[in-house]
Amino acid sequence: MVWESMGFRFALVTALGTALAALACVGLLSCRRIIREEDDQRWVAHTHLVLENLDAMLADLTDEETNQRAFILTADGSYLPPHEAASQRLERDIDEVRRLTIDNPKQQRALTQLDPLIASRLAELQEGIALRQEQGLAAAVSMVREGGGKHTMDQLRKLVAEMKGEEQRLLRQRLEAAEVSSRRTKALIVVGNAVALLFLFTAGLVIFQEMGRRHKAEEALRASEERFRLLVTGVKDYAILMLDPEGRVASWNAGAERIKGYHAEEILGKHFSVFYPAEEVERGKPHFELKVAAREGRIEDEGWRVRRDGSQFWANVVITALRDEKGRLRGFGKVTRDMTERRSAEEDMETRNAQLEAANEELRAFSYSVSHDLRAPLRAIDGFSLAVLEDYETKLDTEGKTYLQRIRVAAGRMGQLIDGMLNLARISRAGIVRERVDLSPLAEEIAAELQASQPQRKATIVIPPNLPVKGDRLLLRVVLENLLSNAWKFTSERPTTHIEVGMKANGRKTVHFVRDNGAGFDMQHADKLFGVFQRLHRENEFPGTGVGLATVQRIIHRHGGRIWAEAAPGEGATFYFVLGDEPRD
Amino acid sequence: MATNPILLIEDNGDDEALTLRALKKNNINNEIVVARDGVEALDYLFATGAWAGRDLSLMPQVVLLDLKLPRIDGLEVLRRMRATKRTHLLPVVILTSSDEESDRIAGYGMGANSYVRKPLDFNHFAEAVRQLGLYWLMLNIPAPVPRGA
Repeated sequence: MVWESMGFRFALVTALGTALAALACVGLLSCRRIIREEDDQRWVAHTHLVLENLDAMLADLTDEETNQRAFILTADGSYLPPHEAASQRLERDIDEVRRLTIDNPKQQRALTQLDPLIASRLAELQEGIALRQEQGLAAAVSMVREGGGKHTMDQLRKLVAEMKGEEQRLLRQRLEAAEVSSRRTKALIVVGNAVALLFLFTAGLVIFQEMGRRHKAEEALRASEERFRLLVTGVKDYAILMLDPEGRVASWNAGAERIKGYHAEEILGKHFSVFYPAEEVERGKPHFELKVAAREGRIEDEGWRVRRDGSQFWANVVITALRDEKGRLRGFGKVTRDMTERRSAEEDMETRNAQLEAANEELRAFSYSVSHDLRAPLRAIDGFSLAVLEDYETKLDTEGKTYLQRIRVAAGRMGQLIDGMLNLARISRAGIVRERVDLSPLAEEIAAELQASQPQRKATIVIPPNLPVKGDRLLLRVVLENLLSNAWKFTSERPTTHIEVGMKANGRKTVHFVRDNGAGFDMQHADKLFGVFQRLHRENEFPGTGVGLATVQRIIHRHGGRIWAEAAPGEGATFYFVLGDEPRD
Repeated sequence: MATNPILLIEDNGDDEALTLRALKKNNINNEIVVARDGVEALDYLFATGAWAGRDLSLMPQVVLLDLKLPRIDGLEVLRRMRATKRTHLLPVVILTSSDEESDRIAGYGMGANSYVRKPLDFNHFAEAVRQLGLYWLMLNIPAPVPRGA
């Protein structure tokens, strides 16, 4: 903006300055032209003066000659003016011409020739007069007839004619020069005026453009202010209002009307403390909030506020101090949101969380109780069955002993189920500690344990050296324990057990897997695979509780991951799992 | 050689009978004092209530403590034992159904010397009792009983 206005000023000053300079030049030229013109006039007059004087001189000489002839004819003395006067008049003529042509050496030289000729002519005329007076008419007439003095007079006339010619040539020369100069000046004046006009036009254009630009900027500003006004007045979800520095309401929008219930005309100018509950006003809260906002620039508060009809709502309020560029407090901006619904939602959430917490607590107590109280009777069943077997061995037949054995096996199995359930419950509520874990050494350890448990089995277990994941080390060990013992269990009837642990890329994710060449299963029943107490094989084929895979799935889910299986009956099974980025509950 | 009794604190009659059977099976012939809740146990240990006037110089060689007990529970019994000079060095083995982490932490935190989960299979249970007897009655040398306390 500043730069643009500078550009505008520069352009305007340049154009106007150039136009002014051109006009000044034109003026100067005109002035000089006038002066020159006057000069030329003077020269013309001068030339005429010179010519007049020369003519006057000739006329004077002719007058003298006429007078002399008249005297010769009449011998009347009145024709004879004093000789002195004639020669003085001629001298004056000559002097005048000399003065006028002082700057012209050629004319001066001609004048020096003229002087003796005039003097000699005057002498000749004097001589004729003297002859008439002394020897009479005949002698004087014969002298005139002999042409006495005609020769001098011719010479004089010729010289004067030359001088006049010279003077006229000079005049012509000067007039020609003046003509040329005048033409040039006229051309310059035309050009100068054209230039001035051009730059005046440019200046006009610049002004016009600038006016257009300013008009557009003003238009844009007005439009933006209009938009802003519409935005503020139109917003319905927020009460947006301005307070003057004393806290009186200075502006009001639709949101304010909706939330607080006042029309603009009934609230403008009122103090904003009417929005606060009476006890808050008594405690001076409105003033306190303005004070804090003025001091710190802004204050945010949540609390109860009062509508026009006296009902209360839970509000989030932000008051911002508005200062002008000199830092003077001009008022406050106040934005209020009705948070009543959110607050009740939060309260609901808190209630639900408390209920959930209570339910979890109950579950904990329940599993604790299960762990204690359900096992005790099982111990008794097993223990006393054994006591009967031992103490009454002789009184029992084979069938009785078998039944007691069955009771013991069933009790043991129930113990396993209880332990599995407790484990699952424990995993569900255990906290997850995420760290970098290499699955490879964990798998190696478990594989070694499995092989050691049944050293007679022929088995190859392939585990690559580097299987990094991010997860809870203990829980991931449980995952591998379950998957590997499953693989170990379901390959027990193969002549050679093949188990492979590995990983492969699947898009951005890394998939880990445990593959075996065991009994496999029908994919039709795959949906039951991860259910608690769900089993795809009969207990007498492959023993188990049906909790292991449920536990594995629970752990993978708690890591935000996914587990699935691919298998076919008699062709082994592969369990795949992906660990997520974020833990989940 | 051992003449001091074993204090078995156990409220479940079945478990009591099985424990006694296991002890007998392993030829552990120490006198077995059975307390069926926390109050009885403390009465015996401090010679109060039903046990008032008992010879306090005779203290159990080892205390087998169940955690879940009526009236005063096992952890509270343990806390009071450890807070009392006469009993604060007595070996206490927690013998319980629970292997809950919280119980283990609380038990050791209150100064239990050992924590054993009762196995479900009686043969395993008997084996556990055998090893316990071997260790706490034969191998372990207890702290001297404080005099005149």
